[in-house]
Amino acid sequence: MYTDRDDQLNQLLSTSIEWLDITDQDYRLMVSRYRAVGASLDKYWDASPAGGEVYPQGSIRLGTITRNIHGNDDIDIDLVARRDLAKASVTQAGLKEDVGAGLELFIKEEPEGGPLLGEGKRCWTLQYPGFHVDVLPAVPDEQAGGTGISITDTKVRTWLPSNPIGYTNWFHSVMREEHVALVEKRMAIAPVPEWSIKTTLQRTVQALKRHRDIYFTGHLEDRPTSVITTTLAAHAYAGGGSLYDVLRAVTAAMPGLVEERNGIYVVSNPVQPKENFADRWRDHPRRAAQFFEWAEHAAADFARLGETRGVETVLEKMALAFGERPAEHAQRVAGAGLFESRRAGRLAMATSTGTLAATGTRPVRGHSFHGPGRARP
Amino acid sequence: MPGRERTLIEQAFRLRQDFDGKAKLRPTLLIWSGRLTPTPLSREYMVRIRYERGHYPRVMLVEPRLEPDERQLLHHLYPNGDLCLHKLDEWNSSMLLIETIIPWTAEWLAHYELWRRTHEWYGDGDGAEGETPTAARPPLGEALADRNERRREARARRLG
Repeated sequence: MYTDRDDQLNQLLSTSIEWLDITDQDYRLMVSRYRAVGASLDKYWDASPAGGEVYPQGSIRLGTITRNIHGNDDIDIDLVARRDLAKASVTQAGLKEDVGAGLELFIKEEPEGGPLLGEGKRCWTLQYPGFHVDVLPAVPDEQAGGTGISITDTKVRTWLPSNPIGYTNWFHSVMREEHVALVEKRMAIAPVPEWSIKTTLQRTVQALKRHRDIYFTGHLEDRPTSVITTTLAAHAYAGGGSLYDVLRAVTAAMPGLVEERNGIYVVSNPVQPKENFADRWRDHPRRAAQFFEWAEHAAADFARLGETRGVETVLEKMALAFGERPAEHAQRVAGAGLFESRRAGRLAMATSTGTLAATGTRPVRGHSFHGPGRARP
Repeated sequence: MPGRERTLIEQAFRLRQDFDGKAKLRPTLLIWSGRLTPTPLSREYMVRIRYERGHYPRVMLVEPRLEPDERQLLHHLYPNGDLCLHKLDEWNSSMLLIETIIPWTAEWLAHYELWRRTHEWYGDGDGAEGETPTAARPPLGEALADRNERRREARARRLG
């Protein structure tokens, strides 16, 4: 039960956002699918002197995968297929073709899930039912060193620098303290897979992504990319605080963290400052404007959650912000929790307000709502 | 075995100790009205308890009005608008209203707020406790006055 309004609001919000996690089963399925891709490419590369490595990047690595709300909107799993070749020894088209050929072989093996192969500007895409796996061909970036990679783009003539592992490390460093404390706390209760333990920052990113997906219904192509949202949220995150407070603070701060340099909007990659995540806003200036509009709407929607009286009204506002299913989940968990705490004798009532809580002056004695079922009031 | 009967004066006194509400006391009748906020985010509800000696306490919502579902029905409600808070054997006159009826009302209201959005009632658990509603038998002494009410109740039961 709840200690006060903030606590209740945060419990309802947290259970709503938890619903945005993909299920354990889906997670395992996706992991087994991408591992199959990796194993197949490994085998293919065995035949040549240069090896390589396939590893995940993006939301699956960041722990911010969010269930999609639109039927035509897949969950995407991003993989890097790093081929250990010297940049000078291979052309961009050659690298792309090489990975493509490896994936063609993978498809021919008729892997589970029956993926279809498609080509994008930078990636190969394996389409599975309900999700797709983007495979990004890359070679090590010798100049940058470390985890830096060079990637190809059919629209750009030069190699593009990227560093998804570096980016993930940066994101994790922002929330390290909370993550370590959470894992320790949770594991002490019962062992759970570490990926399922989410920090406030990860939950905030999921909440923002879901709000964004609802806001941009009908024109998903205009929505700010997940990497823009994630980067701004992590910059804005000051550490500590409840989910509701963090969500509001982060949403309020995000627009101010978009830089403007010579009339160009910049959201730079924190581990590779020359890379502008908002690059595409140059060709689509409307998208920049829409990002600022969205942030304003999100801030207002989140503020409203805390200004409302009546649990059903709070849940209704959550349904508008994050979708019906998350709100329904929060409602169900709240109802079951209320029933369970009374049944277990852990419910009490405060005097003068009659507010139910885990501790209070009046323990709530066992009983059952009984009666004629339903009647007209 | 139930303990000694609590007098109406004692009931009223204990209510006044805990709540700002108004208690009206007559020789065989106690009427109490007060405000409850069942959970921190809840709105405030004005409820009235009518407790006549020898009868079960009756609880009704004064404000805001109860909102039924699309079939004009509501869970755990008697046709006269009283809230169904307990089985008959779960309450007797040795119990204090402040320890039973009032917290049960708060609990009813907390479930009602959750119910309002999707018309799912979570207050009965998953039924594992075998909580099928028993036939409502009026408490001793209420039989005559409430005969018509019981008829309506029986109809409502078939509906629910």
